[in-house]
Order: sequence, then structure tokens, then C-alpha cells
Amino acid sequence: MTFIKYKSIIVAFCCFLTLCGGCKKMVEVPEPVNTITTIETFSSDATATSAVAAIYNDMIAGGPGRNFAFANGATTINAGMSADELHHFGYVSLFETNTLNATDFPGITWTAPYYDIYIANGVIENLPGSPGVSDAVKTRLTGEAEFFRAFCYFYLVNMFGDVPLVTTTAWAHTDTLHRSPVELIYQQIMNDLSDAQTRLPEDYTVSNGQRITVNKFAASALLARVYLYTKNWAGAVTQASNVLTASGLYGLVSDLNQVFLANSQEAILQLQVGNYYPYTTREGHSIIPYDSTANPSYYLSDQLLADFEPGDQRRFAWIDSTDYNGTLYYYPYKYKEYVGSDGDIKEYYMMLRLSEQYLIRAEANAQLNNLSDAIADLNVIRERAGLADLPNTLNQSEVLAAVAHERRIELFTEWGHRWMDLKRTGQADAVIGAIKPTWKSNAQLYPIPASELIADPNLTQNPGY
Amino acid sequence: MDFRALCKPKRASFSSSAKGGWEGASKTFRVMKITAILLLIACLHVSARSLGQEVSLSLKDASLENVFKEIRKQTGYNFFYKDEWLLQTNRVTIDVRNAPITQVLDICFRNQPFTYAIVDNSIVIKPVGEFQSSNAPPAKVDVKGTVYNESGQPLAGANVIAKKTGKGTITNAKGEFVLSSVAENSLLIISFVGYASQEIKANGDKGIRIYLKVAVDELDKAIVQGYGATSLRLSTGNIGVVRAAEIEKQPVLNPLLALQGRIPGVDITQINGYASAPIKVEIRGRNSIDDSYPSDPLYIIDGVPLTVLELTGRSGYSQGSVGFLQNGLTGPAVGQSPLFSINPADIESIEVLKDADATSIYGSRAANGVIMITTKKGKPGKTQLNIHVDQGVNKVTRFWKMLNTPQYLAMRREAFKNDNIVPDQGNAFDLLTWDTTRYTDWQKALYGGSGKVTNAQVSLSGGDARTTFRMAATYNYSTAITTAHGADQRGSLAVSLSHRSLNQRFGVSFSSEYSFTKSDMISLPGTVTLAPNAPAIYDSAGNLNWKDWESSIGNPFSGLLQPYVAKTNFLNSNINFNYQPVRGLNLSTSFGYNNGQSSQTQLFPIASQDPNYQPAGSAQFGNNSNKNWIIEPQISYDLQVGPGKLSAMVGGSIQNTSTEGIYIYGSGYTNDALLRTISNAPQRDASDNYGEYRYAAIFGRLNYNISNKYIVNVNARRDGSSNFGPDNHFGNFASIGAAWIFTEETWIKNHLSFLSFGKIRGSYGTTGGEGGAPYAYLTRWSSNGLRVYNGVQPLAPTQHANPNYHWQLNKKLEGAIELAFFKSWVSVSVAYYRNRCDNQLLNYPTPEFSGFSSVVANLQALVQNAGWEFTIGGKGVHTKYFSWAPSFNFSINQNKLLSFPGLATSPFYKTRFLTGQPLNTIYLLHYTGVDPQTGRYTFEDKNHDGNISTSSGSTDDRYPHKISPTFATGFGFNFDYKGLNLSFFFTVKKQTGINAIAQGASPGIVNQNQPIEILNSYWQKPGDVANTGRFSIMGSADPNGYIGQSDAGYTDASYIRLQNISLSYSLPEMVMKKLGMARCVFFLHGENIFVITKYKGIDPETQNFGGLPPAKTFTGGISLDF
Repeated sequence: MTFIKYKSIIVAFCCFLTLCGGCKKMVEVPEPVNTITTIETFSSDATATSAVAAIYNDMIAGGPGRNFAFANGATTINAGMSADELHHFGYVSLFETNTLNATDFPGITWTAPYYDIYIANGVIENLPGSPGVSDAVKTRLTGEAEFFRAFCYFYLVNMFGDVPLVTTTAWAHTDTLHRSPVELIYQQIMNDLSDAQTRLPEDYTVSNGQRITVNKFAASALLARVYLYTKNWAGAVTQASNVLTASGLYGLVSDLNQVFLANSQEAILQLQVGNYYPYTTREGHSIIPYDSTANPSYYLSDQLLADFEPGDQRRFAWIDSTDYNGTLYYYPYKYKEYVGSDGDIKEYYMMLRLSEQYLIRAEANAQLNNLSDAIADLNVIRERAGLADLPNTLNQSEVLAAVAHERRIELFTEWGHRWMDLKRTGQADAVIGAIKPTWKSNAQLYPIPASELIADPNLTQNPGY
Repeated sequence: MDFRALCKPKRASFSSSAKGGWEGASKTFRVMKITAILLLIACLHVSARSLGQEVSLSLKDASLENVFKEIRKQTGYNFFYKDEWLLQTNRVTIDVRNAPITQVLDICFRNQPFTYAIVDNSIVIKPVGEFQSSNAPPAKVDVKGTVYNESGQPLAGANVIAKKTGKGTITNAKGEFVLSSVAENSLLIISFVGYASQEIKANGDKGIRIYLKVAVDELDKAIVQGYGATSLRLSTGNIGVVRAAEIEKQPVLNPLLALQGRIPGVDITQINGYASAPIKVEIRGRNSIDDSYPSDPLYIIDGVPLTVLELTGRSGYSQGSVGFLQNGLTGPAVGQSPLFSINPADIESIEVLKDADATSIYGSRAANGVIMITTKKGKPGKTQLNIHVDQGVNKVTRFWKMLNTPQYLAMRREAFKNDNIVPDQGNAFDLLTWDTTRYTDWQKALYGGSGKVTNAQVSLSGGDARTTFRMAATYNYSTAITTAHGADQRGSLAVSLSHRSLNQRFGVSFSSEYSFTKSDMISLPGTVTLAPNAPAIYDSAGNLNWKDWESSIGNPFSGLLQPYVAKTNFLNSNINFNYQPVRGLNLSTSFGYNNGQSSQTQLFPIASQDPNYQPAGSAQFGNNSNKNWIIEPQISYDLQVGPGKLSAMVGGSIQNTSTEGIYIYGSGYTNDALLRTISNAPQRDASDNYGEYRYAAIFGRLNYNISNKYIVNVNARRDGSSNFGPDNHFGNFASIGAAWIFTEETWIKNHLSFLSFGKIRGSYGTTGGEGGAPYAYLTRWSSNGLRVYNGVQPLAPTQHANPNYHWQLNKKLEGAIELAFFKSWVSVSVAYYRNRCDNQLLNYPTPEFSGFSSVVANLQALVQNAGWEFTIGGKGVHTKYFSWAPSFNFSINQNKLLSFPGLATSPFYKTRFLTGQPLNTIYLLHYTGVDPQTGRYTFEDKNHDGNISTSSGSTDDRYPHKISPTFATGFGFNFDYKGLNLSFFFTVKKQTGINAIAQGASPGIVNQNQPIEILNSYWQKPGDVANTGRFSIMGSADPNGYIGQSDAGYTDASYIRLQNISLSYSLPEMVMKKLGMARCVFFLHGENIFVITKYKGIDPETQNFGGLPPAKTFTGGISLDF
């Protein structure tokens, strides 16, 4: 009896000790099957390339939900309404009245570029210490990430002014950042782009000739724009010239209807539209009415329509109209497909194109008083639009005015060019104030989403919100 | 025997005619002694019989005299007593079958001023005290016996204690005990948890058989606790229980709903009216400051935890857990409660574990309490067949009166006038295009119907002393109150088996419940606020009417043709092996497994979409799999140590949970007939969610019980969880509880005899919390939902990682007093608790510019829930035919953010919490009325900056308003009259809720109808003093928009609800005997009958205007036992 008793107790406790000994192992789970860790992500060329592809994908598809987002149409449309280009059909948008508030304001203009910056930061900080990734791939991917980080900061700084400068994924270091002055952000952008230029290839071999990956000229093109915005005229001329003289790679497409097609000669960088519904750009799908009698979602302002010179072919190639209940509404028609066809994607989303480089160089040259060079570049654009050349007799301010006009017409409803031009040239108050009674000068900067101010006590709001 | 020497009987008597005093009785003795030899043979015969002498008696309120006659008839024993004594005796009610004579006599003499002694074949009666007057020490005997329950199953581990000395032992596997050298005829108390204790007299008989009866007193009924059983009497912790009898009265599909209002401190809220909807359960207030963690307790079904991992991030504090819906689909009910798969009719009891003593044995997962569900088991005895059938209806509880068409149109026209805007096609289609003579009451159109309810169950149970079984099959069917679609069905099978070996040492028990549920639902468009003149849903051909609806808004009823069907298979099984090698030692291992497999389909046919857009059909398919397995070896050892019983238990637990969700989206279908399968989809898109969780623990309990008077209980647990980073896996939790049953003290017994039970208990201890999703410590990159770019499948980061977070700690303190008066005629208990939750584990908000909006981390914030719980119960009034018993519970919880270092500069939280205030506080503007000049709502400019603002940084909205219930009460009455039973149960809540009038769209917006109340007093022209501001078509762009963020946006949402009413009638025994039945009950049950409230809106509990409100249900049926 006693023997049995002790034996049982001993056996039981032995079982227990085994149990305790195994505890540590028992509470370890294998890594989740549907995700991989950062170390695994940067363990090979293929996976590291996938990480960078996430930036491209996020921009064109707007993340897993595939929404209308910062880099697939929202910037064009929102900034277009903030400026004097677009109206929302059916109701008056807060963008249009320039009366955004920090609570209702859709935060994608803020969060999406920052998410892309997060991925870019992850790539930039993890690649150097990743033995599994080849040097060539490391160099190129770092360049691509730097380009996108610069691109996103460019839009942040132009929409919001001073913004937090996040250059690491370590949340414990970034979650209480203050806003950095615009100059500092531009400095970061210029550093990134200059470095990217040294890392990126000069062609599109990576994407088999498709203009859907970042190359050196994309970095130059963006850097030209940044120099223009920061009034480094000579720098702008140099960088724009880099692109404009890239032998054989780029040229203006003579048929205006073909400018926005996939891999158009004019494209420096396009985002590839994937083979899924609507088989076309999200921007085109959002703007173009689904048939000729439907109401448009957005339509062009009378001011913009009136600014076209008679005979400007862009007025016909890039604008279409719909008759809704007896009223004719005009809408942007640069992208022409509301829904494309499965397996036959015709249009890609244009990020950077050559005509902007002509206009950048023209403006910078005009500022440098190289007026004939400036006029020559303007005339390249005008000729394609079927317009007469500008005379060489224009003075500096006339040339600058001509550049501004040409930018407005050539780049209308594209990536917020008009909105940013009005602001950087100090015209916003005069131009928008004249047509919108609700305009206030502080509306030049969007409000920072209220939730961000709540999450970061060091963040301050833009004036007036 | 010594006492015989004291006796001086004058004459013998065993009849009622016996005369004379005690002297006579003693003399008779002597006479009988002399004649003993003559009767030797007979005596031997009698005594031989008497050792195993058994009596069967069934008498009600009988005189002692009659009892004696009966016993004599059966046994031949003679009785000796004085006749006049009989006048002092109490009447006796007794019901025994084949019981030992001593036991029968004990019952007869329990409340008598007399006692008895068996002398040879005679029974001698004496006044109490006379036997003790012996001047020689009583003889010592060894008492041997076996303890059984009424069904004849031996009870292992029963306690046998000598009442006077406290000396005791426990029974072995066969129920046997030996208590050596106790004073002869001293009293022994035999007790076992869940049974009424019995007292026997010690004598040297070999093999007394003691049959314990299942307790009828609430105090002694068994209640399930973590890894064991206890009773309200012996428990040192706080465990609330709802038993089958109460559950059966409630026609609910989800067993959690049967708890509504029944247990103090337990707040059960149905999130919406769909039967399978998530249910928010909150026990003793909110512990976590994080909105994204549900307040769900740990659910344990027959020992198997029902853990579902959170993978989608769509669960939350206010909306509960999405449960089985972990693939990203939303579904009309916004989740599926896992408990919906449990059939309430198979439940024996639901226990709610609240304080540290009860919960800390579950360690890390018990911070929010534990709900344990125990299914019905078979009982030995006659095989019993039960058939239960009922049918009934579902209907919406109340409608909300909205503006009719002329009123609505007048409001709209006035809004245009106020705004000075000319109505046009874009902003006034309701005035210009729509038929202004139409009228539809959208509430009636959408959920004005009545649903049908059918429930049927067949069960068979029975067994013998070694093997028992129960098998049941149930079918429930309930159609929704929506007019278009919708039904819930559940079929379930339950099996339980148990067996013990012949030597009773080895035992096995098995229980398994399988259920299949099918919920067919439609998304109710939040369209009960549609304009009353909005076009018809369907056109004349019966298709969705697209022609008349404005294309800019579309026909909002496409959901009616987009059916959602969820099918779930759920299996919960548990098998327990146990072995008792020696007395008191019990080795057991429990293996448990549950598996919920559910699939959802939602179709978006072409017919449900606007034909103008050349739509294609699409379909969503979801699959979820949730598995838990658990192995729990345990050793328990009970022994008598000193004056008390020591129960020690150690155990281990290994659990593995995996939750998976797969979502498949098919689109581009060109024909609705092809929709039902993904195979026909021209395009497919899929994603999955996956989580695995492992958990290991060792735990132990020490319980020391001295004479059921002083009880100490210590629990400890060490837990490891895979939810934490490698360095933070383990956490330790412990508790101590103690109870003093002061009514066991002699001086209380003697002086406060009206007090039948009194206990003071207290406990203190810790439990933990693990937070939400698994893998939050890892960096994660995923391709989920991402499209190929340039031939490369992207990999995107999905979360901030934090390897450093660790367990959060919940310290629970409780003190309580429990009293019962006049033999449990009424019982009262009062408990005070104070829980403090520290080291808050939460999704710490990070600014989105850092990449993600949150990271899982610990925060040094301390949240306190303190409160009182009162219950009143008891047997109530009991007469022969009539009984009346009230039940009442009341709880009040005060939630408070006790400390939060750095709150003032904390991100995020500084605008949401104030130390000293409850977590469920909202900060609102102070509404100061409608400006008579402008008709706009005005608010107090608290910070005097000239602006009214609710945005961060502004302090205008710093008026705190508590939105948790102030108190909750449940009370009910139960009446019995012969076979008739009537019971009511009311729930009461005092709370603040959303003001449905002010939180809706502001009056005047296109296609937004308003409640009739706005017309009572609204602004029309300068100078008007009104309650409702000017009508405007601008909506929130207008400053009217702030009303919802002001104190005017909230209102009293207190209510009294007749939660349940039940009327049943059992046919009298006589009739049933003729019919060959054991029981036949007709019943009517009603749930959610009516609500009394000042609240304007549909339901003060859901406060969700537009969603499906909870329905009321009436059913009637019959239950037969054969």
C-alpha cells in the first residue's frame, strides 16, 4: 500500500518536472505562415525586390484595399479642387471651398506618403547589413527607395508645409517628432535624389523596357522640379537638361491622344496598372463618366476652360464632355479609359513626363534671363499643341507669364501642379481669392489630421485649423 | 451497556395506550432481560437481521407514534417510552428506501427533544441529555461505513468527521471509510460537496451504509469552480451560477443571453438583433483602457477553453469580439459569437467566476473573469426519455415614430428657405423628382414582420452506479423579423458518458457536443431614416427599382438581394481519465478539443446592382477554422490534517489554439446563376489570416477546511504564453481566500438561532491579461492583398514590432458577507470588490507618420473597478400547495482611472481620459440652447477663445460624461401553485446613452427623415425660442453638426425590461401515472417582452438606430418525460 502510494506520487511528480522542463518550448510558436520577418525579407535579392515593389504597389493600388489614394489620383483631384481646376459634382467639397478641417479631412494625403516613406526607410536601413542581397541589387533598390522617399516628402512639404522628418522605422524614435522646417525637408529630398542618381541605372532594363521602374532620369527629373521650387535655377536647368538630352530615350509624343498610354515616349516614370478591374488607371476610372449621359464625378472649372487659347489641340484631346440633364459638363480626358480590357492594359499612371522638364527648364532659364532658351523650350510644347510659336521679343516677365500659362494648360489636373504653382509663385491669394468667397490665405496648407496631433503631442497644427 | 443500569422501568409499553413513567419502562427492560433466553433463537434471528436491518418509509407529517408502528411492522423492533412524551414530539416527514434502521431513527429524532438507544431488539427512547449523564466514559468503537449518493454510486472523497472531537477521515474510491476509536453513539457528520450533510451515530456496526442526498438548499448545491467543485457554503470566492432550470425558461439561441441580469456584476449586451451576433460581456467593469480589446472573459466549456485569436483587428471594446468571423468578411451581424454554437438546452449550469480566489487558478487569462459552461450529464436510475417541443414568434419590440411625407417635405422646404438655396436636381431630388404623395414607413417595410421560432429536443439519459449516459438531439429554428430574408438554424447533438471500474478506482468521463448552425441574413441598410416619399424598393416586375431612385444615391436596398449565409460546425469534446491509487489521492488527465469550422458566402448578384453601370456579379467566400486542444494532468490529494481537511491539487496545462481565416473574392460574373461557386469567377482574389497560440501552465491549489467553519484557500499559477516575445513568456499569478462560517460557532447557534447561515469571506490575488493579437512582438511583412508589380509579388510591412511588452496585471480584492435567515427562508449577500489593473497592455497609439497608427506596448496606467454587489434569495414562502420566492440582485461599479503618469503630456490619451474619471467617459461641449436669432445651436466657449471647437488642443469639450451604467439590477419572482409555475424576470439599468434625435443627421438634409419629436419645438424665424435648431440642407458643414458632440447628444437611456416571463403547468402525478409518464409540462415562455424607458429611439440598450433591434420572442410548448 505504502509502496503504491509513494510510487504514484513519484511518477506523478516526474511527469510534472518533465512538464515544467518543457515549458519554454511549449510556449514557442512557429513564425506565422502568412507573413515573414524583416530579416527574412532582406535575405535575398528576390525578397528585397519584393519589399521595394510594395512601394510601387502601394502608390498605384493604394494598399491592400486598392482604394483611390495619394498616388493614383487623389492628389490630382483634391489639389485640383483646392485650386481652380475642378468641381465635385453633386455637392460642394471642402477641398473646393478650401474649408478643410482637421477632423473630417481625409488623411490619405498624409498617411499614404508616410507609409511609403516607412517602407523606403525599412529598405534603406536594412539593405546594407543584408548579406544575402547582391551588391548590384542593393545599390539599385536603395536608389529606388531614396527616390520614393524624396517623392513623398516633396508632396508632404507642398501640401502641409513643415512636416516631421522620419528617416527610420524605429517607432520609439519617431513617435514624438516635432515638425521639421521646409528647408530641412528639401535638403533631405535633395540628398536622397543626388544619392539615388549615383545608384540608379540609366535605362529601363530592370522592367524589360517598360517605364515603370525608377531610373536615374526619374531622379534627375524630380530633382529639377525640386530645384525649381527652391529657386536653384541653375540646378534646375542642369537637371532638366540631363533628362531632355538623354539620348534617344525620351521625346514628346506628337499625337496628344497617345501621351498617357503605357510606356509612352514621353514618360520618365509611370506606375504600372495591374491586370485587374478596372484595367485602367484609378484616376481615369474616377473622373470619366461611365457613359455619355451619366453625370460626371468631377468637372472642369469655367476658368480653366476659358484659359485655353483658341486652336489649342489639348482642349480637344485632353478634355471631353457629357450631357447630363441638359447641361454640358467638361471633364479631364488625359486618361481615356473608364474601364479597360482584361489582359490588355493600355494606360499607365503618369508620374513624371518630359513636357514638365521643358517647362522647368524654360522657367529656370527665364529666371536666369536666358529668355531665348526659355522661349525655345516653350515653343516645343506649343508646337505639339498646334499653337503658334511665341515671339522671341518677350521680356522676362512676359516669358514667366507664358511659362505659367503653359504649365497651367499642359499640366492641368496632373498631380496638383496648378495648386502648387499658384502657391510657390505667391499667386494663390490673388487667383483663388478672386473666384472663391470662402478663400483664406491659410488654406494654402492643408490641416494635419487631428488624430496625428492626438498621437504626437509635439506636433503642431497649421494656422487656421 | 451502562445506561441500562440507570433505567428503572416500571412497565413495558410499545403501544399508544402505555401508561406510567420512566420507572415502568426500565422495569420492563429487566423483565425482558429475564425472558431473553427464551427468546434467544428469535433474538439471534432479529439481531442477525438487525445488523443489516433496512427500513423503507415514506411518510409525510406523521406522528412519531405512527412511525414507530411502521418500523415495528417492518423490523420487529419494540419501542419503549412514556406516552406523555409523545405530546412533546414533532411530526416527522421521511422518505427512505432500504435505509439502515439507525439512519431512519436519526431522521425521526433529528428535531425531537428525545433521543434513542438500540438495546438488543428494542429501541429505548429518552429525553436528550439523559444518555450523556453517564458517569463512566463512553466506549470507543471503530466505525466502518460506505457513503453513496441516492443513486447508489459510491462517493469517493466524502468527509466523515466526529462532530465533537473533529476527528475525521475521508472515503476511498469505493466510498468506504473507517474511523477508529470514536466514542460510541457520538455523532459523525458525513459530507460531500453538492450533497446535504448527514449525521449518524457512531456504533461498532460493520458496514453502515450512508446515502447522501443531492442538496436542495442553494447553499449546498454543487457549483463548478476552476478545476473542481465547491458550494456556495464552502466557497471562499465569488462564483455566480445560473442553472438549467433558469436557462430553460428563456427562449434564447445564445446561452450568454440567458445570463442577462441574472448575476450581479455581469453586463451582457447583444450588439445587434441578429441571433448569431457578437455579445459584449463585461464582468465588473472595464479593465483595459484600449478601445480595441473586447472585454470578453475566458470561456470554458466542459473544461475546454473556447479561445479565438483576434486576427482582423475588427473586434473592440464596444462592439465585442467578431468571434468566429476572422477572415475579413464583415457579415450583417458584424461577427459571429462562438457561443451561438452552444445549445442552451444541453447546459446544466453556467458559472461566472469573478474574484481573485475564483479566477486566479486561470492565471493570465482571467483578468476579465471566467465563464464556465457545464453540459448536462446522465444520472443513474431509470432510463429517462425527454421530449421537448415548442413554437413561437419573434417581433420587434418597438417602432420609432418618424415624420410622415407632408411633414418631411415641409421640413425640407423650410431648410432650403433657411439656407437661401434654390432646390435643384442635385440637392432636392426628393422634392423635385420623387413622387411627393408616396409614404412608406421604412421600419415596418424592413423589419415589421414577425419571425417564427421552433425548438425541439429529444434526450435519453440514465445509467447505473458505474455507467451513466445522456444523449440529446436538438433542433432550433428561428426566422428573423426582417421582411426579406433571414433565418437561424441550429442542430446539435450532445453525448456524455461516464464509467467507473468495478473497484471504483479507475474512472473515465466523456462529453461531446456537436452543433451545426446556419444563419441566413441580409444586411439591413441603415435606411430606416430614408425619406418617407422615397421610391419603392422593387419595380412592378419585382426587380430592384433603379429607375426611380436618384442615380447619385442609387437604390439603397441592394443589400436585400445580397444574401449572406454562414454555416458553422462546432465540436467540443472532453475526456477525463482518473485513477485513485490510494485513499484521497486522485490522478487525472483531461484531454479537450474544440473545433469551429465556419464558412460564409455573400453574393452580389447583377440583379442587386444598378444596371446603368453594366455591373458584373461578385461573390465573397470566407472560411474560418478555429481549433483548441488542451491537455491538463492533475494530481489532487485530500487528507485529514489535524482538525481539518486539507485538499491539495497541482496540475499542468498545455494548450494550443490556431485560428485561420481565408477570404476569397470572385468578381466579373456575367450571369447570376453562376455566382454560387468561385470556380465560375472570371477573376479571383484571395487572402488569409493565420494565428497560432501556445500556452503552458502549472497551477496548484491548497484548501484547508476546519469543520466547515474556517476555510483557507490558496491558488497559484505560472503561465507561459506565446503571445509575448521570447524574453517575456512567463508570468506568475496567485491568490488567497479565506472564509469563516460563523454560524457554525456554538455561541452563535445558541444565541442567534434565527440565523441559519452566516459567512464572512475575503480574497486577494492577481490575474493577468495577454492583450490581443498573436505575433505583435514580430516584424511582419506580408503579400496579403497586394498585386504583382513589374512581375514581382510585393511584400509590405504590416505592423510596428515591439519585443518588450509583457503581462498586464489585475489585482483583485474582495470581501463579502453571506447570510441566511430562518432556515434559508431568505438569504442575503453583500460583496465589495476592488480590482486594479496595472501595466496596461494596449495598442499604444503612434502617429501614422511613423508608419503605423499603433504598437502593442505596456502603459503604466492604473485602472480601478470598485463596486458592491447585493443579492437576495432564499426559499421564500413555502406552504403545502403554494410557494413564492423572490430573487434580486443589484450591482454598482465605479470605474476610475486611478493614475496615469504623464497623462497631461501623453499622446492620444490626454484628450480621452482624466485621472479620477471613469474610462467610459466622453468629453463633450456644453450645449447652451438654440440661438433665437440665428436658429443655430450654441455651445459654451469654455476656453474663451471665441471659437467652438472639439478638435485636439481645444478645451471647449472638457465636460466629462459617464456612459457606463450607474447601476444594474435584475429581479424576479417565482410562484408555484400545485403544478403551476409562473416566473417573471426584470432587468433594470441606469445609464446614459446616445440621444438618437440629436445624433442623427441634422434636420433638413436630403433623404434623411427625422423623428417626430423635432417638430415639438423648432426654430423658424428670428426670435423663436426652440429646442431644435434651424433646418438646413448643409448637414455637418453647418455648425449644427456639433450637437452630437455636446451634452445634448446624450440622454438618459435607463430602462426597466421585462426580460423573461414563463408560465408552466405540470400535470399532477396521478394523471401522469395513468399516462405512463414521469412528467408532463406545458409552458409559455417570453423573452424581452417590453421595456419601460424614457429613451427616444428604438432600444435603450442597443441605441443603434437603423440597425436591427433585438426582437421579442414568445414560445409555447410541451415537455414530456417518460
